[in-house]
Amino acid sequence: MMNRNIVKIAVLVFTAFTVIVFYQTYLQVFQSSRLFNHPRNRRTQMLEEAIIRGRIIDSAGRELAHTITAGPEKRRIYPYGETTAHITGYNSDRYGRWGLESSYNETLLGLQGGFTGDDFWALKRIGPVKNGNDLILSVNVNLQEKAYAMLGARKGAVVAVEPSTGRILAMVSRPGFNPEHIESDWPGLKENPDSPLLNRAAQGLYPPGSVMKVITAAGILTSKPETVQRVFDAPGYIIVEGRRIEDKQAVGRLSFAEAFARSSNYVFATLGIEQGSRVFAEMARSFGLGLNIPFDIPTAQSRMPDPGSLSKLELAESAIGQGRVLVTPLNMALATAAAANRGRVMKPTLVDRIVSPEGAVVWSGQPSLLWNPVTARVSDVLREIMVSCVASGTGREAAVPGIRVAGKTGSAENPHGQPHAWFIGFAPAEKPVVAVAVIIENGGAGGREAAPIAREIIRSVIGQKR
Amino acid sequence: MPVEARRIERSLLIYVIIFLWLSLFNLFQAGAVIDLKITLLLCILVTLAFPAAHFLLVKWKAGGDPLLFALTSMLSVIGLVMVLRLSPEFAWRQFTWLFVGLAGFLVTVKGLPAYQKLEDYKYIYIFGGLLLLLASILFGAEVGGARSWISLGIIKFQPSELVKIILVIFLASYLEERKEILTAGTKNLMGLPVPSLQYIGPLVVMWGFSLILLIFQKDLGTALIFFSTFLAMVFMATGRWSYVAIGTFLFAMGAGLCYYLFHHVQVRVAVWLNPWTDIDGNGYQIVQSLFAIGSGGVYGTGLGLGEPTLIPAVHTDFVYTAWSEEMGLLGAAALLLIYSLIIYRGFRIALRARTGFGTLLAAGLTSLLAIQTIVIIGGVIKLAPLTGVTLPFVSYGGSSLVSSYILLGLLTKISAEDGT
Repeated sequence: MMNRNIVKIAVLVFTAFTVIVFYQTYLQVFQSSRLFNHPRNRRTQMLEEAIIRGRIIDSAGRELAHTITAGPEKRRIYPYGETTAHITGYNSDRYGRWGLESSYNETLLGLQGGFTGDDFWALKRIGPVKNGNDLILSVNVNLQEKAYAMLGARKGAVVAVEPSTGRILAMVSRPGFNPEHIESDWPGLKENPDSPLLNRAAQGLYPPGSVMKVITAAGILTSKPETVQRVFDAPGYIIVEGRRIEDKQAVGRLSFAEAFARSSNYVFATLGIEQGSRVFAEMARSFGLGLNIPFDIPTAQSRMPDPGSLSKLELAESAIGQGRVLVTPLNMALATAAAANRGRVMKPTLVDRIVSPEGAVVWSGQPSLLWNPVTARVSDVLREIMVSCVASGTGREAAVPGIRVAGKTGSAENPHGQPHAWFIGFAPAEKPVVAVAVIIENGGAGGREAAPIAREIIRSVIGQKR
Repeated sequence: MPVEARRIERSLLIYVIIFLWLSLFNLFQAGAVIDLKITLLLCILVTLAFPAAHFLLVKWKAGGDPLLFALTSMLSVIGLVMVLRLSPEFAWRQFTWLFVGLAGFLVTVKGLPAYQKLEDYKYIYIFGGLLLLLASILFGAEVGGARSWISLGIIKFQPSELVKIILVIFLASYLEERKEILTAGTKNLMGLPVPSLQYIGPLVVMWGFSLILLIFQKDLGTALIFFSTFLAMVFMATGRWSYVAIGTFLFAMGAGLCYYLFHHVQVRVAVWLNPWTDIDGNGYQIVQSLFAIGSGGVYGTGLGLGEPTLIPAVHTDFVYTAWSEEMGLLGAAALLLIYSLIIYRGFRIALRARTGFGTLLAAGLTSLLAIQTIVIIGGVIKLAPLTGVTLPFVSYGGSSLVSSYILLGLLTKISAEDGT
């Protein structure tokens, strides 16, 4: 009798042991990586302290970020400071990491694939110092500096991308910050109403203004290819649902190309209504509006209202880039790249290669298709009308002698004062090597303010290629 | 037959000693050995001590279970290695306590008359035990929130460790005497047979005893072990789940009361349910324990290469965590297997004992060991609320080690007298 009871207790005890084994297996197998990488686990910090963080290097071999050691002290140096701040980001014990310093943290520490207990163990055996991997970027510091200087004291952003590969050649946001002084400047940066920590190039959301007409044109050319032959009579205004939209800059008889080059609100509001909200919204979406852009650093999603919710007036406004549509400069640079690359948008990238401390290439980026919003035929038409915009329309300031530049200006009305000055474009038109998007917040007319920056970027890229 | 059986013990002890020296070499390679001379001396002494104890058992023709001593030796050596690894400054003390423990084991085996004699004086030592406990409540020093230490000059000890064993002996003899009455019951309460108050009285006293521990010593873990062992023994004697249910209910009520009365109990429970919201405060220890276990992975970091010292009180309450980090899941499983084997042998001794008292005593002592192991391991891996009890034979702590060896001596004695 008693023996049976003892067996029952023994069964209970061994059941408890079994539960312990199962739970500990869960902890040490399935939760192991999460627990090891938990930000509050001091082990990862100890690991980092033992590693010299890898460098961030531009396409010409210049260091954008490197670490110097003086005894046990380590300091992260950013030689180009504000000019490249939004790309490199910062690395602070107190405020964490941001930008490439954050998204490539494991790589820079030489621990990609995540930390494991085994790395920790191995590192302790190897010794106190180990170098992380270097990041080789597609970005060129000369372009960064040029764009940063030309934005001057104005707020804004510049994005330059290689259309055939998606490699980002320049990405500048102003105002900037110095990542080296992040810890001392932090309170001021956080309170600054101009948000210097915001990467306007990838995260700033702006009404697109007339640069939206590229997408409106793509919509009508796809749904009604014969539109390219049409001739319009522009009265200087358009009335939609009782609301009058002014259109002073393009009056009279206009071909489709002329209407685009002179940025006719009448024609493009009309074409927006003609294609209908469904076609318009689908085209905008295929250009990435409302989609997440996969990228090496954080991006914001451009906003496109639901087509069902668009009234006729809102559709007309959206078609000329006003209303509820909001876009990021990165998104517009990619949209431009579509026109430059036979309708194909390549996935944007900042990092070309990852190189080990011994100099071996650990990883090398391959271009990949991201979106394909228009056919090659439609993109040919877009290219031609964009060329005429720079040759004889609102984009003349972007012209570079001897090179066919394609572009579109925009002046986006907004509640904060002067319109935002936009320019998007690419060159050379027959074999594009660079697509650019420029925005200057409250800068005024895009043709006058934004186009010259694009011109200098284009000139610079083509000059380097030669 | 007994002499033949000891041969198994001898060959197993060789592995224990090999493990000790390999671990020492490992620690030395990892740069974790601080004072090599003293460490070597202590390890040489241990290398001599275990075989010496073994040969004494052989000489005395002590008989008894051939596996228990070898298994607990392995645990002790693991404990020594972990003390050397985690807090070498305490190593010589732990080594000293080990020698005292071994002496206690040998004295229990050789010095004690037939174990059945223990049955006769049960009220004397339960009284002694209560006095000890009372003394620790009245004159005890508070260590780590629990008021359970008596300080005698340089030696501090925790009476509750010894009282646990006394309690098991008392319960074994008491239950053996009364089990028929307790099983049948003399009165009926709502369809359940209930023994009259005079028989159940002492058991109710036990319940109060556990709660007093909980309340005055703030020692949740020991109270839990006391009461669980008590319930296990009552069940083994009577086979009545209703006692277990009533006992659990009473304990839950008492614990619930404590929860509302005492802030530290509330904190314990809150930290168990979700330590992550209070990582810097009360949740610190358990979170550090989980980090350490998780970081160890399957194979562990290797002895001396982890960072278990990030956990406060690692050498006492969290020695299992340190072992799991450095030896991984495989090492932890091996350790659990050693405990399982000891517990298996313990219950086996209980089943083979010739007297009811022997059966109850062996089963009770084994349950005590098993429950304590489960409570502390469950605590550090966050399966149960964390309570500061020691891992038998392994944790740093003299009282725990010595009483564990006395427990081992009793089990050996029962198996020696009643055959294995």
